[in-house]
Amino acid sequence: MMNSFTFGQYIPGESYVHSLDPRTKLYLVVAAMVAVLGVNTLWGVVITALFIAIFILAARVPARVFWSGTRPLLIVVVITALFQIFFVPGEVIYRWWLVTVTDAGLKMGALMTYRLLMVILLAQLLTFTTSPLQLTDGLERVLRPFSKVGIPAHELAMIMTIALRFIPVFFEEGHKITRAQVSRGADFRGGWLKSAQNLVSIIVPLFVRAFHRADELALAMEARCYTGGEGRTRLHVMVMSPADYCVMAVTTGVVLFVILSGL
Amino acid sequence: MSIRFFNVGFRYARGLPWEKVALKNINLEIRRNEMLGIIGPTGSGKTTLLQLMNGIEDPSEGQVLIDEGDPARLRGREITRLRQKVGLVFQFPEDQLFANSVYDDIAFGPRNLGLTGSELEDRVRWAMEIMDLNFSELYQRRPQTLSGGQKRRVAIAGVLALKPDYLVLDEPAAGLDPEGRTALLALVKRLRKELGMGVVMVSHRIQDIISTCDRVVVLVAGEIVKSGSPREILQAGEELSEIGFRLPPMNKVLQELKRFFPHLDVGLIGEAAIASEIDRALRNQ
Ligand SMILES: Nc1ncnc2c1ncn2[C@@H]1O[C@H](COP(=O)(O)OP(=O)(O)O)[C@@H](O)[C@H]1O
Ligand SMILES: [Mg+2]
Repeated sequence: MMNSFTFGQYIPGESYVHSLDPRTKLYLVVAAMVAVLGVNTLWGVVITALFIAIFILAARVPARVFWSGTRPLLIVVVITALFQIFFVPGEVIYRWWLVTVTDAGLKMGALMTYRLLMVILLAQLLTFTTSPLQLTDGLERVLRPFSKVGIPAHELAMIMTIALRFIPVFFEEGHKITRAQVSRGADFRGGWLKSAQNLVSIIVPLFVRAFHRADELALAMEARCYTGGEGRTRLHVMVMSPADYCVMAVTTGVVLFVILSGL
Repeated sequence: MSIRFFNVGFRYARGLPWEKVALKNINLEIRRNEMLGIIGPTGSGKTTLLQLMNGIEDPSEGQVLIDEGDPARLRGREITRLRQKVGLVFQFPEDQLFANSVYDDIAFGPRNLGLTGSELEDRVRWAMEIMDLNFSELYQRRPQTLSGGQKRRVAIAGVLALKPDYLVLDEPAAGLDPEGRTALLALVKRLRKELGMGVVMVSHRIQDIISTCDRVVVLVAGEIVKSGSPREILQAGEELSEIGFRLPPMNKVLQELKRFFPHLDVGLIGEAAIASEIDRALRNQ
């Protein structure tokens, strides 16, 4: 279970996408998500699909890794698509018992499937090619202008770094505790009441561990004189290269195309 | 009756780029009424090996049989029953304590097996007694308020309460103070002597294994590189030092002295035996 959990992991590499500035990738991914969610013409779909495919191929992350990150989310995609297909009103093209399928429903279903898959792939593209540290550094820089209006950019970024760092640990610990309780005969297949009781045996130790860890981390940070973002310098200074500007320009072009073609 | 491994291999993250071979070509038998020790450096696959012993993981290659039952082929109730034969104590088992009282935590396993009433209470009393925990004094206490050594023993009692035929312990003494360590190892030794269980214990400290086990398996990088009695393992001490194991200090002394006294027996266990051996060698000179 844990071993196939690839969503959100960083996959070190030397590809062209890996070497882009994290700010560029943030812009690319967020803009492409906006474009994909807003797309409603066939040309828009073709252009965004091509655009995203180019970056996914350039990232040189094995397709299998994308697949194992997408697979657990497919159920959400399928359910959403079915909802569209069955419940969007339009010209009925198929009817059986209580089920009706309309032409508009089919179209919306297909479009929703496309949108969700692309959003999932984009999110993975970002995390697969950007280390958590780069990601939060980039985010901090993007948010910095807003710190004038009271948004704590550094603190937000620090929270995200810590969260990203500890999510896998949290999962692993949950996995370990689950196995320990299963080997004490805890059964999660029985009735739901029994399962809920057994769930307590996992959740309680998991939270105890998490709070314990949080305490230790706070102590360790204080012992190293951490005082927040004020006056802090960086080991790696981010620099935008011509390639970054190029990617940003193309991304902007794609988004503009999608918006204009949809009008 | 035994747990048997036939050409077992295990890989983590199968098919992903970071696939990791944790075990290779393991052949092993664990009998009841035997105490087997597994030593190996960190990352050598000790924990993985233990998890295969009660079917919590299935082998990637080969087969594991628990008293002739194959956990990889069983489902539902049957696998639960098979798992119950092999009690698995994870590393730092006190992290898994969750109930509000020592009693409820130890009773969690037997309750899952369907025990109730006086039968349940007898079972909890029995497990606590074996682990040297005073029932009337401790059964109502919150596990969080116990000492480290007590918490560990409560957690082990929680597994013992399932009345397994085999008990498998992952680094049971890790992180305890020297006294707690000695006390716990003595308790583990009793399990085999008095209850006739098959006991498997993992440690990266040779000393703990040598002093408690009948048979020792040395695991390096996922493979069994050596197995034999504690005596045989110590006699190969030089080899082990080369791989990076730390011998018990007194055995290290013997090993060094052997250069000058070629007839020294380096397979001895315990400080008294070693001291008299050195004494003998010096007199004979
Ligand atoms: N959940 C896991 N996913 C991937 N690799 C793992 C996992 N657990 C252990 N490993 C790897 O398998 C090898 C054996 O681990 P383990 O059995 O825990 O060793 P030991 O208990 O001897 O320290 C190690 O190299 C470890 O990094
Ligand atoms: Mg281990």
